[in-house]
Amino acid sequence: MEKFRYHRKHLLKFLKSKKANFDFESLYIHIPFCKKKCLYCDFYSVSDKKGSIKNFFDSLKAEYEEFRSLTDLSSIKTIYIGGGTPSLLLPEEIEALSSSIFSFNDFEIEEFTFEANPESIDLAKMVSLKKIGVTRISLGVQSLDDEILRFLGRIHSSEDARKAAREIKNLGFDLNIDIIYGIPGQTFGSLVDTVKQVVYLEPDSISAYALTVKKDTFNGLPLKSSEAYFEEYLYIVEFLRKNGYRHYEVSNWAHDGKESKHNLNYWLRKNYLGLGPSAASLIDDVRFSNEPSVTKYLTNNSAYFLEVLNEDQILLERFYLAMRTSLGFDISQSVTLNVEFLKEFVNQGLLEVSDNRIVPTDRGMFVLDSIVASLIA
Amino acid sequence: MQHIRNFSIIAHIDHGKSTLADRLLQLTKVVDERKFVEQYLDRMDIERERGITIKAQTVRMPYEYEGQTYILNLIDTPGHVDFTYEVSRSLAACEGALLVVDATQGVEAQTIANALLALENNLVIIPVINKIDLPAANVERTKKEIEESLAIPADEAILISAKTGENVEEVLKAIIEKVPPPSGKPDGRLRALIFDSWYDAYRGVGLLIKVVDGIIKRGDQIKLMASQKVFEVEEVGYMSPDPVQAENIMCGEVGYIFAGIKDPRDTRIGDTITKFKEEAETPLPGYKEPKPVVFTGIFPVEGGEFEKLRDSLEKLRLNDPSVFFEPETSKALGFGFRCGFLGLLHMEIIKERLEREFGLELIATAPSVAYKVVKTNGEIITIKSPAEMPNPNLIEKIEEPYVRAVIMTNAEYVGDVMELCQEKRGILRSMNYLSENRVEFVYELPLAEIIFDFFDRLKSKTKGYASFDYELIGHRESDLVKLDILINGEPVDALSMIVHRDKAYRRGRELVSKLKELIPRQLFDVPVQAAVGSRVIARETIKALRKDVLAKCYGGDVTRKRKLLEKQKEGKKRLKALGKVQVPQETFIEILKVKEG
Repeated sequence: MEKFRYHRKHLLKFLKSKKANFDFESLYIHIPFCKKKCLYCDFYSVSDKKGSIKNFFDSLKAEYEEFRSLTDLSSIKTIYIGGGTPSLLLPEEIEALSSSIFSFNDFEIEEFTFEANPESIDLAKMVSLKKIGVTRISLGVQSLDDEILRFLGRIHSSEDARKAAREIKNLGFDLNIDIIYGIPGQTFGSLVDTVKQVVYLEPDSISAYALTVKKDTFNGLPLKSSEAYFEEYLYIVEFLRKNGYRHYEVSNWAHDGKESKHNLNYWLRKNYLGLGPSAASLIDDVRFSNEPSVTKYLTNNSAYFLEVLNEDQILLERFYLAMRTSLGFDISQSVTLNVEFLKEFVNQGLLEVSDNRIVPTDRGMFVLDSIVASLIA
Repeated sequence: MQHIRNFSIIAHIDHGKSTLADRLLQLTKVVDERKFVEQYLDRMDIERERGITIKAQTVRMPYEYEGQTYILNLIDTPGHVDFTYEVSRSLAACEGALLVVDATQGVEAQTIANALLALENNLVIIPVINKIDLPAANVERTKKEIEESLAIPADEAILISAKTGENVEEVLKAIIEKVPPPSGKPDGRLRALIFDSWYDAYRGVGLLIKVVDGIIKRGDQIKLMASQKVFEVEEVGYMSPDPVQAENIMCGEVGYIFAGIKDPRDTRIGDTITKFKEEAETPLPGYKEPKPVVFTGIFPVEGGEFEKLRDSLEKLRLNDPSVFFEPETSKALGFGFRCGFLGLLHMEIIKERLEREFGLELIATAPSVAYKVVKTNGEIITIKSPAEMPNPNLIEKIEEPYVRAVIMTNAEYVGDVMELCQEKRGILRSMNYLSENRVEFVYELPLAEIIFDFFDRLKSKTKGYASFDYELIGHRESDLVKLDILINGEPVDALSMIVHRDKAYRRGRELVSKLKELIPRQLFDVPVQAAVGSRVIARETIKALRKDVLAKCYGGDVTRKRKLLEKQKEGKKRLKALGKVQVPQETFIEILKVKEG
């Protein structure tokens, strides 16, 4: 089906006509503000606040209330506040999110993540986060090499990152650390050093992302070869394994039991509701996402892009998403795969098959898109 | 008959043949000024775009001269070497020819080849030097070149500008004064030469003919002497330049007939028409079966279009019976046809017409020639594709077609031309300086070498200052081998070729390294090899793909990724599986474009 552009009231009408109640398992809230946009980031954000946070909160409340009229949202088990830079919010604003909009304490939450950047998170904010029920902070460290941080255009120092990580741990939050590899100009030694220091900070989970940009240069330097990416990836895989982190998704590692439940819901294709500009939602066969415009969002009349998927498309998503994780895909689900290639990839050590599941190996995960493209006959 | 003049125009490409024809049409008021378009006689789009003539056309032009009305029949011939046989038949219908030479360019190889054909047919040749209005025109040098190369006196050459019309009237006068009227026996038994044909969806095959002896009229029972088929004439007429019906075509005249002929293969250019039951004793001389000399595999890019390709080829053959095709299967490219053509240009034109007129997307394999293979058991076979090559231990010897090529160039490029011909295994037969600056070479070359990229390279080596023409002179023994390309250990039939042993190594290396660039990385190492028999002569490895995964795939990224997968799934149809290796069609299109050098 084609993608449609719907205004909010029409979207809600359409959704209501489909179903009486929606079992959303996860709630995502997008805070689309950054002090400075990072060169490599393609999430939606703006670097000036375009009116006050208060106005933004009013619109967020309006959107939330309208979706609440659709369903009671009591099925939500995980919440994720991402951005942008949510840690730009002041302590009182963080608390207002709960007190005047969401009443987070009313949910039976299993996991509540808040994204933070080292330069804008402090103890006072962490105390507020505790109050509203946040259990997990995902810290955008990216690198612990100050030269590399400058090259990436980050506005924090490695010391800011170490300090923030320690405080987060001390206050009893689960800590996730984001790092980037494949950075042009970064030596292998510098990356090794960052990975080692990250592990030394004892995060519960780690996200390591291969630098991805559309052009073939980054900040004036040519991108690294895929072999160089691969070498860095393999190092990260090996080093984290030795330190007790399990590789549970293409870019994610965690101690057992510390995997991000919220993110797993995306990969297991559970229903989720996204609020805020650019936020995306899934309800069974319907995907919709909010127009990426703060200005429009503040008018309370932004548009949503909506599409209704057919069985084949849903199955294709299930397959691709599951294959990104160490859970792999249950072959008994009816999907036609190219058996020739499946055998070949198992022979090549890219996939493993056990208990009716196809599971990608570490090497397989790094070429997963090609694998999936070859398998979908 | 005394007032009929049949003539043609011989010229190298771009020397102004079509423009001169346009002027003659205007001067004799045959074409309404308002309906006039440039290159009036070139009816096909491809003809206009390429500035060439593919099909012969005739036009009957009445002209008043000294109180007498003359019938001037212009027979416009194809100008290209691929159509030499058609040219020779068209010329056989004439008594005279205008030899048009561009005063800024001088004599070119094609001019000579066609002028020699005219001389062989005993035509009176009237030299015409064109483009005298241009500052670069050098009339004296051009005259000297005409005399040197063709031994035709050029003193009385008519100096014209077809573009401005200057002196074109003189050309008409010269045709009447110098070209003899047709000689034939008006009372003899009918003999008419077929010099071109075309296909009309309603009336079947139309024939352009010249009545040499006797007369032909509607209702006549006729017999085609080569094919032995009998038909009844339904319509006769003249081209003026559109068909105009008439009662009959008299001795010495050219015109067209329809005779209810449905299958174009029954009518062959060069065949003689006579009357059924009043048959002439002997046919007119010079008939030859058209023989394709260049072969290529043509495959639809979309596998499902095979039937459409067959239909299209059959339709094309209606207008061009010289197109040869038979089904061919390739492991890599699927179902298609092995097609034969009169030459490279003919091949390009047919491929272009298939794509343009029938909306097909095609892949053509490397062109090949017809080899004669003498097997150890004494059997002699002709092979048109590398796939037909017998096992090396069954081969006694292989013969390949050779041509006699005439190459004309400016003196400064003599070294470059010789170098190129040497590389192409050419044997120099003669080299003449036509003027201080103009050189004529005669080389004997394997046809396989010139169909590859000879003309392009000749042009680029001489900055365009070379022209080239050739004729086949038969088969000669050569040390040839079949070069195979193996991808991941599997031979790829579409890429096999027959090459001279000395060149196998270089060609193999070129293909292998190009394939390494073109074939997308797979999820495992893929060896690409070139082999002669079981001996691998070149090898490269396409390294396994190491990284191909979206780094971040969260709530908002799923839609885009799914769309990409759907596109890839759709794109699968254009992937060819060579064993476990998936190669996009584009790779074949690219690799088959690769030229030597």
